[in-house]
Amino acid sequence: MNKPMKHTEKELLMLKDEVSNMWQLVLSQLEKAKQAYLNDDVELAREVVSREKRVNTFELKIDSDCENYIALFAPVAIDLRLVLSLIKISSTLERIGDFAEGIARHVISDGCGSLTKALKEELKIEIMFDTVISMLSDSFVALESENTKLSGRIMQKDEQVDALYHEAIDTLAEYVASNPSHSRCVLETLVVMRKIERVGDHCSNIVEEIVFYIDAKILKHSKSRE
Amino acid sequence: MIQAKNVDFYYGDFHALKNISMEIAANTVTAFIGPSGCGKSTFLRLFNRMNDMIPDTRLTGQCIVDGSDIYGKGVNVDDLRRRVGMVFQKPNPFPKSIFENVAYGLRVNGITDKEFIRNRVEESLRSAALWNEVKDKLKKSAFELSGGQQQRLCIARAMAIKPSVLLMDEPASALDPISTSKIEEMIHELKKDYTIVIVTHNMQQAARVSDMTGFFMLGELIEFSDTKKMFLNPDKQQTQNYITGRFG
Repeated sequence: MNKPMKHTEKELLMLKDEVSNMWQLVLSQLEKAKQAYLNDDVELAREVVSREKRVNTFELKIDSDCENYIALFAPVAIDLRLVLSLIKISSTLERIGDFAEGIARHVISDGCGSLTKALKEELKIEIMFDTVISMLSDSFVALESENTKLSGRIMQKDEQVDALYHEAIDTLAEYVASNPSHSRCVLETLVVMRKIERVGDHCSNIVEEIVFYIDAKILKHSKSRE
Repeated sequence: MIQAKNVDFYYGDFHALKNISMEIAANTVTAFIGPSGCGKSTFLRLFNRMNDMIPDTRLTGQCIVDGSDIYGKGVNVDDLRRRVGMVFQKPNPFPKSIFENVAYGLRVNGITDKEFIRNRVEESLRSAALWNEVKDKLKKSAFELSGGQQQRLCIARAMAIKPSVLLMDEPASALDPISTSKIEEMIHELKKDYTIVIVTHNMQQAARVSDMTGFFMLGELIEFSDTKKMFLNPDKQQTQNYITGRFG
């Protein structure tokens, strides 16, 4: 028979659940930002912008709950690593939420819909979106299942996203050379792609935190990250 | 330096310590943690031969202090206890004045120079962070001091004879947080001159004061490592279960 859970464990589980809920919200924000951008759906973009406040609220709540947990329960070892990781993960999720909101704001204000539509396929923006969304959902699975075997695969995807971004710069440079009147929209597109690329970087940071929590290894700035 | 080599210890038939080996470097603070009855206090007491007084006990292996086996032939136990001082859980001042408590060890060691004794008492009370609180009432009974002050007095008494090692068996477990904090701060200062080994049930105290931590369970030394590592990423699952409260 399983041992009854201690109240400190229940508190930790509640913290983890809170972060999971924030994660689901940010994933949905990113997914909606993608749909809004690819389909020039201004209504959906507005929904993303309005839901951003909920992401921020989650971050504040998780910060406060983690502070309380540290103050009241003085966690050590794996519990301490989990709480430290959750603080950083929630802060990173909030940044990803900001990027989703930023992309949605481009849809609302840039007016480049008809122009960039032709470019979007060539730039593989949808693939970039799908890759970072899968990175975010895979890292969620890694934390839930406490399995760091996925970490290498997720970090490889970040490299794919970086490569797509650099290819896109070349494509956009060529495009703007032959269409100088579209330079503003080209820049707008580049800004959006840069945001997607940064989401990939943040997902890698989340993976680093998960590895720190589960394996007590520090990947940040280390060769083992590669 | 303190060293244990393959130490086994028995209370009658009960095998209390099982093949313990460890090295404790000079001028460090080492904490022993573990559940009640795990052997940590028994192990601590071996190093000034306090267990000798318990009948029907047996030791195998070696306990080495400053290079010599303290259970070897011809070892003078009084001399050993001058080098290895001990502080207990409950403060145990003598029914004497504050001054005489600290001077006691010097007097029984034959020192009669009043000036020397006065200076050493002051030095010891200062090291124990008690001087400022008692300098104007040195002739008062030690029993007039608070529990925390009495404990620091006992530490000053242990230090007066200039041991190289201080063994502390839960020295702050009966004290309030302010007194505990003073003892911990004092331990931190004392390691410049002493090698300190402390047994504690307070995990956070072990984390705060020690450089190295040993985790004992059922008479075995499960893990002995750098305190920072022990409390962030212990090697053994048993250690993790104990320090995170999932033990048992």
